Amino acid sequence: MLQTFIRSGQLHRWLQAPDRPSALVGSKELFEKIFHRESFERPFANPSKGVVKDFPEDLQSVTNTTNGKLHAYHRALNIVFARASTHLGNSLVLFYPHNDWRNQYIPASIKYIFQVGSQVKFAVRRHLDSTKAEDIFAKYPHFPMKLYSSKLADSLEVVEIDWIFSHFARYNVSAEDVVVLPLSRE
Amino acid sequence: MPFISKEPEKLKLATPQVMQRIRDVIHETVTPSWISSVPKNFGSAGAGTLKADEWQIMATVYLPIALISLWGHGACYKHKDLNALSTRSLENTMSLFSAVRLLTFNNMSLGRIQAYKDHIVAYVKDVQVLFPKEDIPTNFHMAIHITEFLNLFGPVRSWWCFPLERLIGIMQRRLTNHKQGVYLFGSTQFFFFLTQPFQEN
Repeated sequence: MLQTFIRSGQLHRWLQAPDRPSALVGSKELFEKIFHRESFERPFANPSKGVVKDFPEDLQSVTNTTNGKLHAYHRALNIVFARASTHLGNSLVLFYPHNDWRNQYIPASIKYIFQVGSQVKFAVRRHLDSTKAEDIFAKYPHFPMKLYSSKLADSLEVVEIDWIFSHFARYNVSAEDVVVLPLSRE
Repeated sequence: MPFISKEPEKLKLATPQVMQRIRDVIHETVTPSWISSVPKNFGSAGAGTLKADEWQIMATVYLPIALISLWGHGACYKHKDLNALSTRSLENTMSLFSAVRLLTFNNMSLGRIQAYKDHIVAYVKDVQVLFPKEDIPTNFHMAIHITEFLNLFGPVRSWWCFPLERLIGIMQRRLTNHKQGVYLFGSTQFFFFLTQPFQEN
């Protein structure tokens, strides 16, 4: 049993290594197509379903579009995202504005998941910065927690799925502030 | 005459207030659905023993938030020695939590392995200074050796024991007929012979 365990560990490592043979990557895709295994890229809410509706006013103003499809949740990269009114925890996301990884990620809550054409996007409200002078949570470099204001911005921002870094956990430290803990395991 | 101990009063960090704060954090923290749940009554007898996965969630989500919010300002207790001890214990505990967080990443690099080693060595050293009368368990020593396995096998997800733990869990829940080597699987009345029963003549 120990031998099998060690061999499977080595096999997993080899399959995940950056220098693995490209034929292996192709074989995996082929395997999933043959056996109809759900692809990680396949969205949870089927974009072909749903009814085109008029967007709410705040969504219209930020998208410059009057109608489209609205979803309660969406699955991408094997992760479920939801709007805040459906599941608050699944709506909390960290994102890089315009996918610029050089900047600090922004914590936000998804208000709408909308679809215009075939592309699904999120309309989010970001957490405002904390007014506290001292942040006792931001002292640990390998545990990147940070204080933010418990207030969300009034205005909406459109975020593409590729801009999302991860979900985060949120705890109300006081009436004014929340602590944000990134949950990325990458 | 009442007996008066000459031993100095033992300082206790885990007061009922601390345990209540941890339970409050578990109850009030908003998390995505893929984060496993942990007992809401953590610390009480009714919560039972936590599993490894639950300890991982506690160490990487709830306990850091609870302890920093409580001990981070350094003035949580009336006893000044306890305040000093709580500040040092927080730094020590955060070394452990940082090590656990680094260890459970899906991607591993030489930088992360070195950071894990730094944190776990700092934790093991400091815990002996903070609690000199406590015995140091063997798994503290073993935790430092994980560094070598990270170098050899990469991320722990590839070789950790959770798949085998799940297999043990599945086998424990199976119905058996209490005959060695013969298992009765579920309500299907299907006999599965894991090993050929040894028959004595």
